[in-house]
Amino acid sequence: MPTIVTMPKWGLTMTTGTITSWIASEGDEVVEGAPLLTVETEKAVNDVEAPAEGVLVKIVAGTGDEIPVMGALAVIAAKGEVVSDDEIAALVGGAAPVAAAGAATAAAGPARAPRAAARDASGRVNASPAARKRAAELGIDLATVEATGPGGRITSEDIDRAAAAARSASAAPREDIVTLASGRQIAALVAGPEDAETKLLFVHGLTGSQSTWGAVLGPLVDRYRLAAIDLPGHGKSDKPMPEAADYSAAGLAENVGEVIVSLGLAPAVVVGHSFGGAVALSLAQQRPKLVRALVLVDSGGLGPEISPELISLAEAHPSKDVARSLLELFIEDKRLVLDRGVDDMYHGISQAGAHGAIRAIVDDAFPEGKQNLSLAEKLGDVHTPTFLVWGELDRVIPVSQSAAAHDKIAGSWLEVIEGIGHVPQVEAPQRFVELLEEFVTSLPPAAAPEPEPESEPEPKTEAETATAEPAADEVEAANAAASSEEEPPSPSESELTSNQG
Amino acid sequence: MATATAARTMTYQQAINDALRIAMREDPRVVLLGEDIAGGAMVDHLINDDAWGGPMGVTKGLVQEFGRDRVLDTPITEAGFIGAAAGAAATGLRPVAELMFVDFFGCCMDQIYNQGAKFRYMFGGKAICPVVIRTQIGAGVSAAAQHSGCHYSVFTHMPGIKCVVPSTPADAKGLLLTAIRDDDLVLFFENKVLYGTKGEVPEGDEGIPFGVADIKREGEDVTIVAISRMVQQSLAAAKTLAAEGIEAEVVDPRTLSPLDEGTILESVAKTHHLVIVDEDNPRCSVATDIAAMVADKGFDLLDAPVKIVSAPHTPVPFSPPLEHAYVPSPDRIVEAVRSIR
Repeated sequence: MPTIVTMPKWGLTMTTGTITSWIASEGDEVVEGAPLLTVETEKAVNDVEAPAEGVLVKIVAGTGDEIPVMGALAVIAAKGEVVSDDEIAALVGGAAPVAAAGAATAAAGPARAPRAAARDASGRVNASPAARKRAAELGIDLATVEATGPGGRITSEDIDRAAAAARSASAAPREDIVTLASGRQIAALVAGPEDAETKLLFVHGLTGSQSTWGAVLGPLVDRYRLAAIDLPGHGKSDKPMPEAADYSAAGLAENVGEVIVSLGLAPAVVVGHSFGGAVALSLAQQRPKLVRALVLVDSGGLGPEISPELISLAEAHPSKDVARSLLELFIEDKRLVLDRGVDDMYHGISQAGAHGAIRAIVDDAFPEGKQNLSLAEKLGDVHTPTFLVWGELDRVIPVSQSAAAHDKIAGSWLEVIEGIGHVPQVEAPQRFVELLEEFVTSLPPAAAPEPEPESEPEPKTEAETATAEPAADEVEAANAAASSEEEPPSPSESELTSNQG
Repeated sequence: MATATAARTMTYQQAINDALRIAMREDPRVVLLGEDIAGGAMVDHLINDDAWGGPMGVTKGLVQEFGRDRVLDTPITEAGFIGAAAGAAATGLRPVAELMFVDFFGCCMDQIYNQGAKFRYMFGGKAICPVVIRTQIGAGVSAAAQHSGCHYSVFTHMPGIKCVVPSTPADAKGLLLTAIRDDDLVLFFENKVLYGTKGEVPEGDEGIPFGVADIKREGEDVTIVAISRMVQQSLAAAKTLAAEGIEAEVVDPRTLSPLDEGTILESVAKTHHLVIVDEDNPRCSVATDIAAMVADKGFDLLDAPVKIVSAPHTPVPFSPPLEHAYVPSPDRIVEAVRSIR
């Protein structure tokens, strides 16, 4: 059975790639993973690798061609297998390029071509009563709607079509910048239907970026509103000097909270990986109303052990070797450590300000070679539904911490994925997506987001905490939980500031 | 009352005859009056004559079964026998009078609207007027201006009168049974062009309730409310429209008074487009009444102006080409739908 080579999708926003050169030629024997051709996207130039071993029997797209994602590039046959031209044509014809946005809408469009709506002398738009009512309900401005009704009249169908277009426009992946109250900017990839009930926020770990989630966002984007951020000091976000910023998990959690509110994701299912898990956990402890559930993936903040190799690599001067060593520490399957990933990692850690930020995080989160336990000590107070996902062979944070945390967090789920290391979203993306969806589906319906008091994001002083009444719903949540005899969570000054040490 | 379990094919005319026979068998108070509805049957010196059953033979055979005491031939005097029917109803009978053509209503209007229609109201419910006036409507058989009008709009306008406009044999039977059992004055409009049309008619004596419209064809794109024979014209138009990708929903109100506003509004809520097809004259008509009702109660449902396809504001012409042009045709209905889609 021949294998078709298609244009890969390297990121949520990638729609096409342009072939810059073919490395392999027709007739070449190739092994799985061998580079076949080089493709340029808006963001990078990368190799497309052979998806199977065999003979490259046919190349169907030439240098310079711009091919849509999933579009056919070449056909590989098993050694000795004879493949007819008809078979090749059928295979290539069967490859389904991802339709350009809007094509589906056009196919289902009305018989009459949409055109500018008619207006009377006073400028009043010609719209039917039903269209006016529907537009008011959906908040659509009639002036922006094209008409298909006779005489240039806007009909209710036109409004529905405009609303659907607006929805799909807002659902299309976009790279957003959120400006925090401090003026600093956080980069976020935002995608998925805005009105989806479940909103997901992804937080990467130390030295990572939003790109760590590249393989799992695609399968989720149709059903969930989602955002993947770059933490301060990482990716495309600002990288302030450590003296001027709070790089503790709690300090970064404040930033993440602001992002959740700003992007309209509250309450969000916060998915945190590694140190990003510690940030997510801290956010759930600080501002529980913003966090509908926690997914902690090979997470920090749960126990004392942390890989000394990670600390030394994080503190080392950034280089490609350091980047590769980091990935090899994270990822169990070495075949997944691609040059592209190494380049990405190196670019991330070598940017101006990144190294200082990473060191600041290490200093705060891993004092004296162990994890700061300020979050772990309060696990019993976590009343947010929590899912712990771990790679069995994790060499950065041992899997034993997951079971311990599972015992402490009432009602939590635990799943250990066999045979993989520290990064399930890269090493077992399909399984990761399945588990995430299973967990999200089990959650009680999201409560309507309610505005929090302006002052809440600021950590309370001890004196304030002592006198402040706990919010009514926090008490309720605490009472409803199994450990109802315990006091509602009220962070004290010493716990919050111990992160700084 | 037995429930209908089976159906058989019969004409519109046979279905009416069937309903009359069932009603007369079940209730001895039901009597028929009209011109030539018995004819020569059972008259000694006309021994070889069959019952005429009126000019269209609708009541044929009933005099033989129920006798001349219950199937009464009357003089050609609408004022007399319609008045007699109203009076008989007030004393306890349930007369079914045949006003040969609705165009003759001028001769007996006082008896209908100023007497029968007001008994119950004026006597505080102590008197009722369970009269059914069966009458022919409709152009298309070269019967000329004095025998071809519809005029149901006139009666729908008047309180105290129920107006029934069956478009199929099954509806004709079920609605006539309900009309005879009703305690109010009912005008039962039989379209003369439909008499020969055939359809499945349920056996048994089940009536069809008044004020319940029937969706004769389901569709998503436009609602066509059609009255009497116009239902058939609209179904033909719907076929043409379907070939163009427009699915019409044909709503048959079946009774104009009471009118099933809910079904019409629900359909318009789905299709957002409304065409009303009415063979009656266009001014102050049932069509304008339905259009006004939807403009009032369904304004926000509409994606286009309400279109009315009706006869022109003239009497029915005798000239066959003009008469043909007078009655709303499937082509005109298609054209009206296209103008708003």
